[in-house]
Amino acid sequence: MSVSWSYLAERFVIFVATIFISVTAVFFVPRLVPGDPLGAVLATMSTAAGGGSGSEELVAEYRRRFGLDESLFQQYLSYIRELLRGNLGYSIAIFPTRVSTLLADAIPWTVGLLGITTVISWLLGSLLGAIVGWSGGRARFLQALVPVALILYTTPYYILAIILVYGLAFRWPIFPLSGAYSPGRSPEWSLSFAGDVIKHGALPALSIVLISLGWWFLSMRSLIISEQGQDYILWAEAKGLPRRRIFWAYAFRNALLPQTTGLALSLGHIVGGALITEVIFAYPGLGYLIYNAIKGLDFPVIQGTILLLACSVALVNFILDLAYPLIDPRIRASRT
Amino acid sequence: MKVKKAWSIVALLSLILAASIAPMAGSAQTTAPREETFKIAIGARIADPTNLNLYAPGVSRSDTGLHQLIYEYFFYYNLQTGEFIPWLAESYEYNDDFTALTVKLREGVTWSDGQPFTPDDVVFTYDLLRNNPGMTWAEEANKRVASVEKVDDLTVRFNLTEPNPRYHLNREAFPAVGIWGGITILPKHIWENQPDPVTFKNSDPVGTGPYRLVDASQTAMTYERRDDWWGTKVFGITPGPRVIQFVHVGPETNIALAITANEIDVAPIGVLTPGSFLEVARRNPNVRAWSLDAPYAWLDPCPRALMVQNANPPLDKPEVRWALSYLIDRQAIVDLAYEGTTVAAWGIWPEYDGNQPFFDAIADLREQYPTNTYDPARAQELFEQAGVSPSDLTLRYIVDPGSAEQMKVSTVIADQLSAAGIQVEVQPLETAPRENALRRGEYDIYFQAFCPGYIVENLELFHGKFYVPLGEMAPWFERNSFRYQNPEFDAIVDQMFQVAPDDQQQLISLYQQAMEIWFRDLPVLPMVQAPALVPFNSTYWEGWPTAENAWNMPVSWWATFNLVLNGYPDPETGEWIGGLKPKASQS
Repeated sequence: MSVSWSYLAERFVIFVATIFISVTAVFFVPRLVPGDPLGAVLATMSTAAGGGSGSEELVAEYRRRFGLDESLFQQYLSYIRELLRGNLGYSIAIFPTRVSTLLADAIPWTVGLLGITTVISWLLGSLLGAIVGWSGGRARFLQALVPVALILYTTPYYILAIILVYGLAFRWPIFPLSGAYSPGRSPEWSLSFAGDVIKHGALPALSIVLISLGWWFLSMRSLIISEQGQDYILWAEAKGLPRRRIFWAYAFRNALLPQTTGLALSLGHIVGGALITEVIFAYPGLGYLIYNAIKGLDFPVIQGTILLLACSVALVNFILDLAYPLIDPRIRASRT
Repeated sequence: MKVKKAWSIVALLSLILAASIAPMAGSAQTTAPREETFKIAIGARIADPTNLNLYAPGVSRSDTGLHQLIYEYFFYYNLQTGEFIPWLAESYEYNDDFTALTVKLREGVTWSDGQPFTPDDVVFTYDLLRNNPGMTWAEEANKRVASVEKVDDLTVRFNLTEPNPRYHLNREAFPAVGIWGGITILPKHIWENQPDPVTFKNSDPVGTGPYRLVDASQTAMTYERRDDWWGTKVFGITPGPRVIQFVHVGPETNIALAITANEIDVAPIGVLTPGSFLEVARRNPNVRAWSLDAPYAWLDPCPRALMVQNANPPLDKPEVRWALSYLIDRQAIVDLAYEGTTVAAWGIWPEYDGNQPFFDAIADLREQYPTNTYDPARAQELFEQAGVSPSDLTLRYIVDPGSAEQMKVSTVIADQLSAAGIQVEVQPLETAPRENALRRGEYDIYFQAFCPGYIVENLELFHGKFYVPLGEMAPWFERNSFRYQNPEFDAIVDQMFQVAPDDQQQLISLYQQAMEIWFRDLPVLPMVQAPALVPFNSTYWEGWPTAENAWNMPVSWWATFNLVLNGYPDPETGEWIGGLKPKASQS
């Protein structure tokens, strides 16, 4: 194992620089939008309350509390300083809730739902795609999966989700309509609560698996098909190796490389949440948090959530960079 | 053969997935049987359900049930019947020059932790607002109230900053609610211990209301009836539902399905579009809204009008504003955008019985100034009179992309104005930039609700004291962001604020004078009455207010829901009116 230290250092510098640049961008970009986060809060309140007034004193008080009355550079400095201390601050839109509380409440649901469904759909899609691709035209019933995958892949997600809700929660009420657990129950570590969570998560999970399955299936199928024509496969066949061995140890393994990159990148994006799933199934998570924060210009929440997203994508890329030379000997070879 | 083996692995995996799902079906748990639970849909999830400080900006009072079930108010104003109903208070009285209001509190009111509700709590709350400008509505309360003092154990006096005979109707400064909610009295013994009341989350709220919060999540707030509620002792009543839940079940489609499946008893305004409502009512005969026939909806107190930027030439000319008014066919808006669930409006007040004497008094003016008449030929004449060619006009029309109502209305209005040759640029803006653009006056037209819908208060929205030049922040959208100025009109409105609300004769005569100017200038264009399409499912509960039984306002998101739930004593006779009851066939 000769992954050089300089390679490692280079990757680490890129990792840190990526995060620093995104942290800076996410500070400045939302502030370019005309408007004021407090103004958005007042607008939302006025819609709910049936009228109201701007209340200049209130706005001034919160601008002071959030340091929005200081110069942009001053704000940036204190933002970086607090960030280094691990303090993400308060949300403006739902003051006095802390950004860290909002993140901590949302992360388990998002990571739980999307982590599991991403892995399941990747496994199922890759396996099915590989088998269908390998079997060629020999197994008719397997070929029937191709149009199914195409349909799933091209169906707009929200339509599929609404159909699922109508079919499996309303017409045949097998699953609950919405939410992450039954209303009125408090989260606790118990078997019955876990069952409740799984029951509520099943439909959103099914919708995500179904919709992302198509992509993994189709890409794996075409990868396997292109591997099939390769010289080393021909060579293996000429050697008289069993077809099963050629499939698993040769074609499948090689085709899995780009799929693994895809999986890693998808996992990195998980913390972006699944906005439409969260909206249709009223499922808690990060997507809705980010969406609302951007809509209301809630700077601290935008900063916190995007920081999390940037870190996780950068971290996954960093790990991939480190793992690639181990998985794929060609990368190691090209660097030495 | 090998492929077959791999296929079996896949099949196995699918089986595991299926098996992990199957046994979970059908183990639902709720805190009370469905027939003892009242379930209210809410339109959005609650960002932080543990953040229940209702004076923190951004904290939802309506969706969390805070101002309906936990906190209560001195008086409740039933806009439907015009009754001003004493609740935590028994009576109020002004001094001779309307500079002080003395309120007698009800005996026997207690907080949910058993402490008595006293004038000290009232004094404390106003002091808190004075010392914390970061609390919502503090500014208005401080502007109106100089000080609050305890007179005796059941009497409290509000010393006002100026003579104000309408103070008791100002929900932003006095704890009486009509529309939506208002200033809320807090328990001194809880809040005085908080070092910073603005950052206090109040996750376990103590109120005087009939329910206690037992569970809070982003998608459901669950309340349980309190057996020790003061109202049970004082009035001898017990609210019907043992448990009340505010539940977010997802987008409109899910809410429609949940109501159809009897999972939800009521949904607030703006959640179901007319089309969905009609479909739900067709599938479930127990579901209805205010009236059984069109327009189905109850009238919300905030009629809609098209704000026109009076400071932008040529919109500064009344003839041009009138011409625009004649170009818009209100009936088309009602039919296309509202699917027949509302009616055209000639003004900016709801058609409640209590307002009728005012409307009758200006019948001739309404005839002289037909604000909701569609007449393109007349519009053409007015444009010519003003020396304006409609084809030279470009109107910046800002809309809220989050409001289905605004989006639908904008297509109809833009279409009609374009038909006359006017260039209409519809620009959707998200909350923060929209708030900024509207208050700075950077628009030509905007479709807006005019609240609170009271006669005098809605006239005040046009007052010159709210006028700021273009580019500066106006007090609010409908608070003269359209930049209308007329000192003659201002003087009349100022006078109206000095007349006691029960002196209707005097008010009506001033109203006539004000409307003469208002109609002539037409600062904004009245469009339609605001429909509150509130579907109610009577499978488990009955007694909800309807057109045939119009005892109260059909609202689950206003503080007045407390009185929909419990009913109330008739302010004249003391006889108990209304309340939600379990469906007779169920019990």
